[in-house]
Amino acid sequence: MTETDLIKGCIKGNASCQRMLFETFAGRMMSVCLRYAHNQQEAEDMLQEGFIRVFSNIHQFKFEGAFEGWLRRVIVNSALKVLEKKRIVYTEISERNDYAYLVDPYAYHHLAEEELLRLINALPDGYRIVFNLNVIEGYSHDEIAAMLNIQASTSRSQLVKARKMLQKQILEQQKIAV
Amino acid sequence: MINNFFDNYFKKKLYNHEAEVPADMWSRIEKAKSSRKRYLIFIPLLLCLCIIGTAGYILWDKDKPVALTKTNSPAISKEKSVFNSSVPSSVQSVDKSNSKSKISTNDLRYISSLLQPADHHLTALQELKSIAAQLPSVKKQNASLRKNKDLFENIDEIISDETYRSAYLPTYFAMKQSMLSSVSHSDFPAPAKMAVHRIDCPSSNAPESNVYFEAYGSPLIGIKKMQGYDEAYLAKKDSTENAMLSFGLGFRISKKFGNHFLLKTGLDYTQVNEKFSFRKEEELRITTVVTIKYVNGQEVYDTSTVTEVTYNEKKTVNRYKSISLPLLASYETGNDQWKAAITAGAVFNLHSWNKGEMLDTSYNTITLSDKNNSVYRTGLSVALYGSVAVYKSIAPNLDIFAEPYLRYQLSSMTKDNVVFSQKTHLAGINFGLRYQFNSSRQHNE
Repeated sequence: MTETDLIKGCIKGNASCQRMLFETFAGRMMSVCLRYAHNQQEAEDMLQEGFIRVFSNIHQFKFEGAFEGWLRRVIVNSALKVLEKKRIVYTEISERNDYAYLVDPYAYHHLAEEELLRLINALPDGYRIVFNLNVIEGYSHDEIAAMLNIQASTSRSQLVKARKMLQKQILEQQKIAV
Repeated sequence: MINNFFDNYFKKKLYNHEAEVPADMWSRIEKAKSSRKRYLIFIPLLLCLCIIGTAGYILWDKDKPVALTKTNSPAISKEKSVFNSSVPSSVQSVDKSNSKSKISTNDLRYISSLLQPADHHLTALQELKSIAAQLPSVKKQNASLRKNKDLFENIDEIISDETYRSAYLPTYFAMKQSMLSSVSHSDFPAPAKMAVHRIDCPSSNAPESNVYFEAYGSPLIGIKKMQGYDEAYLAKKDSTENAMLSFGLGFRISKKFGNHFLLKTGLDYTQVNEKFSFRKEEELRITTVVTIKYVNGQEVYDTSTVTEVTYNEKKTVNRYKSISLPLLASYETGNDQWKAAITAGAVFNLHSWNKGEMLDTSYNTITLSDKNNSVYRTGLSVALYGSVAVYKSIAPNLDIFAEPYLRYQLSSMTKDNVVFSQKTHLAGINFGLRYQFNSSRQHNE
């Protein structure tokens, strides 16, 4: 069964198609949720809520572009909805004071996915969300601003801060290793 | 540059990363899905309860009479003083037992008019006597009514004696109000019913009720009209779809202006049913059988061919559902028992949704559903409405009616990008009930 057949089956409400679709994408979407959530339980709630929204809105998919992109957007929006309830405060910082840590790429090349996830999860809420949306999902700062109801400049500053914090963590890990 | 490298590394590692999903996650999703479906079932139920509750409140409020003490009419004040000073003790005790009884404004007006010295009031008093004669035959008299029976038996004295007339009549009307609320109309013999009705509306100048509630259901049929360049396709499509008996339900609130004109609005649900049947040639199988026979030592080949055609036959019922808001004007005329009306106006389709199958231009079937519909519009459209109606009174404030109508669709029900346009006009007959809200309630307020 092709992906298109699977989607058409889901539009018709076919339970076995829904299950197959879930099994196809659940692992990747769980990883998405883990990047936004504070813990495993919250990520599971996000995934559950996300897939329910996917099945109830799948008729809106126009078969234009990749389905996974659409699915990922729905899951990310669901995750943001969960986080929205926590009333995260995005503080704006001045970019002029920004400086980049000079991190050698070899310092993080050995880091596995789980290690990177752990580093991202250690970021404060605002930094983590903006970093995920911009760097991993590929949203522009204007899009992020619209999604989170913040200024684009706030999104930029959050990203800078997030990146700096991640680089600092990597450097500290490197020092410990040495 | 450094940042790009850093970001790309994270993206490359994490974008397609797969994490372990709990084994029971699918069952949790299914459970949550079904519980939401159950929750959605309650929405129409709650809507119905709200409508019933509102209607119940309106009806209950309509029957709520006005307390005697709230009235400031000089005539009533006079009655109260006379009542308190000269009513015999037996009558006073009766009145105490009905201290909660209240008199409607119409009754109070009538009482005050009776207390004026005029000859024509004697006719009204004779009516009272007639009612009093009928009342003992009421079947479902409860204890309090039996207790008050004496009062009605003394009606002769009320009529003949001016003092008693002043004293008893207010009490009489209070009692009548309480009796009418506890005894159904069917318990009264026909003449009594007529008399009671007349006393409820004693004055021809009383304001008429001018707000109505109509609820109806209708069998209807959809008349489909299609237009498009590909006539062969339209003919094929038309041949696969056959109209079936459909139905509509709705309610309207009407407001009367003057003696004949009404404006009406409400909500209308229609479901147009259509039988879709299509047989498509699925497979053509040709079997050739060669039989070899020996005739006089020579081979003879006997060849026969069997052609088998396999069809895929689809049969389903298409359902085109819509919720509309009618805005109608009506002219009505007739007498108390029968009324005729002509109605015209516009019907605004608020939302439509479809379920079923249809042929596409390549003669393949496509599925239509409320979630997957690339052919028919779901949003606003407008139709013209015209009808004639006959109303028959079956009870005070209640009519039944029959209303043949035609709903002419102005705008196409298909989307702009579809190669044909389709309109479905509706013809049917509304059968329903019309309730006339009581004018006394409006007056009291």
